[in-house]
Amino acid sequence: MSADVDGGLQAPYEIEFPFERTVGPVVGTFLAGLREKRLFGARTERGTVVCPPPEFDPVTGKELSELVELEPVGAVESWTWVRRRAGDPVDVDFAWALIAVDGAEGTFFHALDVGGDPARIRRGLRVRARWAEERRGVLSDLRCFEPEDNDE
Amino acid sequence: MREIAVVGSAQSACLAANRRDDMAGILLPVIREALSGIPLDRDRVDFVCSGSHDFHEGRTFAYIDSLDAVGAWPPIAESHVEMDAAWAFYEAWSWLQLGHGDIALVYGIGRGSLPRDLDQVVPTQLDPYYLTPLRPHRDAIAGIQACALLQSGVTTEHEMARIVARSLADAQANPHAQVAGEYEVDELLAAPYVAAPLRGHDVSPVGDAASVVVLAAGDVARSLCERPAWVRGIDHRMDGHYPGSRDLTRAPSANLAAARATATAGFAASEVDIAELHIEYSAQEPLLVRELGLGAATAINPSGGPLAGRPTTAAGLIRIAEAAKGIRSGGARRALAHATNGQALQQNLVCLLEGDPA
Amino acid sequence: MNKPLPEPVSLMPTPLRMEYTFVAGVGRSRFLRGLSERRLLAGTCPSCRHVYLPAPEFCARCLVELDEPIELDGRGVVSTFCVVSFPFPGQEIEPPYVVAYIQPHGADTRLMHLIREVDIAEVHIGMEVEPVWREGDDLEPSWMSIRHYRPVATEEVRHA
Repeated sequence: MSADVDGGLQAPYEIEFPFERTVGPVVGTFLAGLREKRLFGARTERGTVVCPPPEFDPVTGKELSELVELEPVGAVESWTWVRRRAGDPVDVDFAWALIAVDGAEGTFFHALDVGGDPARIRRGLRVRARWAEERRGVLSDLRCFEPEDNDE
Repeated sequence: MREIAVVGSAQSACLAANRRDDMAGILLPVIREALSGIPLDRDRVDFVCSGSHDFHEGRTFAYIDSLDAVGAWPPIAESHVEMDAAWAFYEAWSWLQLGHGDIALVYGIGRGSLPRDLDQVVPTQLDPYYLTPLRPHRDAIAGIQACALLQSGVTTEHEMARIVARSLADAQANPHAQVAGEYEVDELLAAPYVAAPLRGHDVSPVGDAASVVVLAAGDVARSLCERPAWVRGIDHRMDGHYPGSRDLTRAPSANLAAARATATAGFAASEVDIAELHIEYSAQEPLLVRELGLGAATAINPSGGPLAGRPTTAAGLIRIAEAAKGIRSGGARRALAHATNGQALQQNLVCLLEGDPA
Repeated sequence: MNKPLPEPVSLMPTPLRMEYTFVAGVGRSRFLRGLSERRLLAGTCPSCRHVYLPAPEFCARCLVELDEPIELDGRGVVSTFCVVSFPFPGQEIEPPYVVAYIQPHGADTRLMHLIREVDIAEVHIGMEVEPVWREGDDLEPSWMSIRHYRPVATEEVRHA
């Protein structure tokens, strides 16, 4: 405990929840797909595919169960440029973005690495998934998206 | 429907960090001020309802602490929502509608300063499968929404800065404001981004404060208040939570809540003199103006709004208190209060208030 | 694209870690500072005469500020207790041990602390107990300034 200028005592503390979460077949298959560098969406009765796949159609609320594989490529729809912080998936300043995955309805919220240069981002910029070296069936197996024309 | 009105309110100063008081210590003076301003003895309060959020307080059932400032012994009728206290206001209004009593006291208390880093806490409130594991920046979804609003032409960075300048100028007359002052638009536009296109001042400053609103029904309200602010219509709706499944340039739930409130109120948002909008980011104001159908004659956030101070889980209730104050003071005939929860205006509450003809 | 679906994973790790500041408040700070001076500071409501230990800033029943703090000697009686026998992560004391609700003499509230220096089987409701303070340099504005409570020797009780 330390005293503030106001005379009140204060003390730092931290809370940890080391939980695991059961994911069910839809999210579970999606995560397992990421481990194999495969991207899945869920097909709706309306004839669309939603990625990442929800368990229920975001429009009709109907239960979704049919998973469809998608190319892990798409286009930037909207983004925000932020300073990199410890624990972020990209090593330089980057964007959080909504990515319209080819063939899917709606967008995928994920990190976008453009090598630290915000001027490279525009609406419609073609991007592809960058996979983590070691994949464990978790969301961060898809490390981030990056421009398709990145030199490899 | 019963006639129910706001008959009193009070608020503590919005502080970036109150290190002197515990929850009850912040709240007690505010409850005293609200009751003594009517005046009303607390024994006459039939129902107490509050809003707060454990993830900001860092303890489970943290709000129990605040009951020490309510006088919970002998036992009282009491309830709590784990969200903005505007929803506690809705619960109290419903409770009075059911005829369980005549007077309700609603409070919101939040201390956004207790988390050492909001980037740790905000992601925990997101979808646990597809968003929390990414641990996005606290303002990431709002920044993406602002980007979408700019691209679609709903607003411009210049307009966002104008909204901030107007809000902070208006806040100079608000003794509770956390930030206030005269700023030039160009000066604001020269500030660095925190989550582009959002600059620091585009993000409402999170802090610590408590807000109290007293509601009363029918003739009890008339006996307590010279000019009650009657709740003519109130409704809340929500959209889906995943930002990729929504069109972030729209807020259909705000639109629907306004339509529903209008249907019972008998007047529309376009007819109000003042509107207090729970915008957590400047770019959201033009979007809400569209969705609610506000007219050019309406004064928006004359208190300065949340851009002058966003006490966690009290910011929405403060909108209702400020809108009602406009009516109780005789300055406004009709007013709209809006509150939000979630990311990018996911959940919206609209309350239409009216004073008796002068 | 016609490869079979992968076998779904069933669990995902969702660890959360958050750092906070605890703000003690006016009343609690006064009480905690007392502990760092080996003093138990109680507060009396000027309206209902309820005596609080620890003393908050104001009476939770009457909502009025408590009078200037009064010092209690800390002795009290066990009003109820339990024996913790089960180990759990982060536990700092070897089970089994006794956690008791103690009603301090002169106070209308109860406080919770450990009962030690006695056979567990002998702990009972109504037992007279007293605080065992840490040594001088070891005091802090925390309940930890009291190591535990222990029974008051029977003769002492008789002559008290």
